[in-house]
Amino acid sequence: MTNRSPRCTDPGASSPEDRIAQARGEAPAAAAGHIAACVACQADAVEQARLGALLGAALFRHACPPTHEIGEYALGVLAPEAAQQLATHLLDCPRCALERRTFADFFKEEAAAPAIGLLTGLRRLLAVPLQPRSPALTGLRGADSGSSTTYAAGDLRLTISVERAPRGGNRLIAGLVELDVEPARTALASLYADGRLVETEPVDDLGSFSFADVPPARYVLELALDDALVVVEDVNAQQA
Amino acid sequence: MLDADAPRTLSAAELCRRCREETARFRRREPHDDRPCLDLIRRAVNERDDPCWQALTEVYGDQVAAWCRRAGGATADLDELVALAWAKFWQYFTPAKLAASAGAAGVLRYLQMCAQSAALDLVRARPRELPLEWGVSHHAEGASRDHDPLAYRYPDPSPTPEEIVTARAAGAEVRAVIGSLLRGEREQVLVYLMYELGLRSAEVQAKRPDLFASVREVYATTRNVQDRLSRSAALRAWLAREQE
Repeated sequence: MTNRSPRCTDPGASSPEDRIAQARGEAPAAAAGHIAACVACQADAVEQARLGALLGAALFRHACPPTHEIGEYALGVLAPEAAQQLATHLLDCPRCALERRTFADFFKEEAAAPAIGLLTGLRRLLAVPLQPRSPALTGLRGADSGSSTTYAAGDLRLTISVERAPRGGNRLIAGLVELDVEPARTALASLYADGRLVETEPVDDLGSFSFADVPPARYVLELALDDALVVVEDVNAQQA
Repeated sequence: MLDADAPRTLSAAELCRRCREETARFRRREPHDDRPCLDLIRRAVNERDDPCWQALTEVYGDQVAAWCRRAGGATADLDELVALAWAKFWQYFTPAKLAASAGAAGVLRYLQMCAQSAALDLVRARPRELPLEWGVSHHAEGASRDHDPLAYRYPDPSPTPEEIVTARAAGAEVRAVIGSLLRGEREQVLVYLMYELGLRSAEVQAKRPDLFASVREVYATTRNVQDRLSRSAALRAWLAREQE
């Protein structure tokens, strides 16, 4: 808090909102120029920045889940109710979403050299579309519903939908696995483009998985279950 | 290969030796037997058997250190990371998780997760940098601090590391006060998105255009909230303590 109250050299050159913007490093050049030159306005902006920083120190990420829970989520071993809550939080919190991706990348590096006995000897099943993609939905741009296709592979049904990601031009690919038997405990969904692994996501206990932010492209999706590897050869995420 | 029931009768030391042998076979991609390692893990996790726990940390110590080195980068204190990773495994890998895991590979996967989790904890613990660009206005166009009078006219608004620690420690108390001073959904959402999640103003607006028609409205709401909070006697007392 300041004890002195200097006067602004050019009243109207910066508003209280401008000084908040300056405090957050977001002020437009004209306002920033005035604030940099004006004792009163800069003192106000400094005070706002300090208050904001202290509030941030008290509040920042206090409600974020602990990192091991995000790791358990990435591994697919978090309890369903907790996984649901965490998934909701991930939609809002970019830092936790980044940590989840960090875990996924970390596991992916290990997965590049598969452990013996982990994936060897799996049945490889090619998923076949049950119904052709609706021409009315295919190629719709900006539609909230996106498009979805259901595939069959043995006793498994797999529905994949492609939508626009909330921000930017990327895609959200979501899947739902339906099994006639108990879902696998360690199912993983992996997305490949041009033969390269793009991302791996765990399938939750409800059979859902999603790739929240992937570039528009044609992908191969592999679903690693306990006893089989289900392959969808063409997931078209070029349009949504 | 071992007899079917052999591992359960072995001492921790012998189990440790067998586990090392089987792990070496596993790494050479030779036929191997998971059971000595699984029994070692079972005794350590389910029975909290100290010798088995020690043996477990010996068998997988190098692997955990390698994961921690990869997860934490060159700057992290490796010993601290490794200790934290094992502590997490001890605390969170419960007998129920062991029962649900897919063999030794599943257990190691969890241990690997603990290494990355430890590294992320250290990142979270670092003081957060302010989203400020004071230097831009102070030192624009090549002006140096030595020749820029503005550079020293105002105090650096960044809280000190001690203030950060105090603020975090006082978090529950301060959060309760802040919560009681907010008016309506708009301010609550702003505080959540801006201070709790650390979003920038434009991101707040993009996230909730229903509440903030423009970024300017985000600034106006921020100003209102910060002005009101700064007038709160409880928060002023807290801030005064911070600034002592």
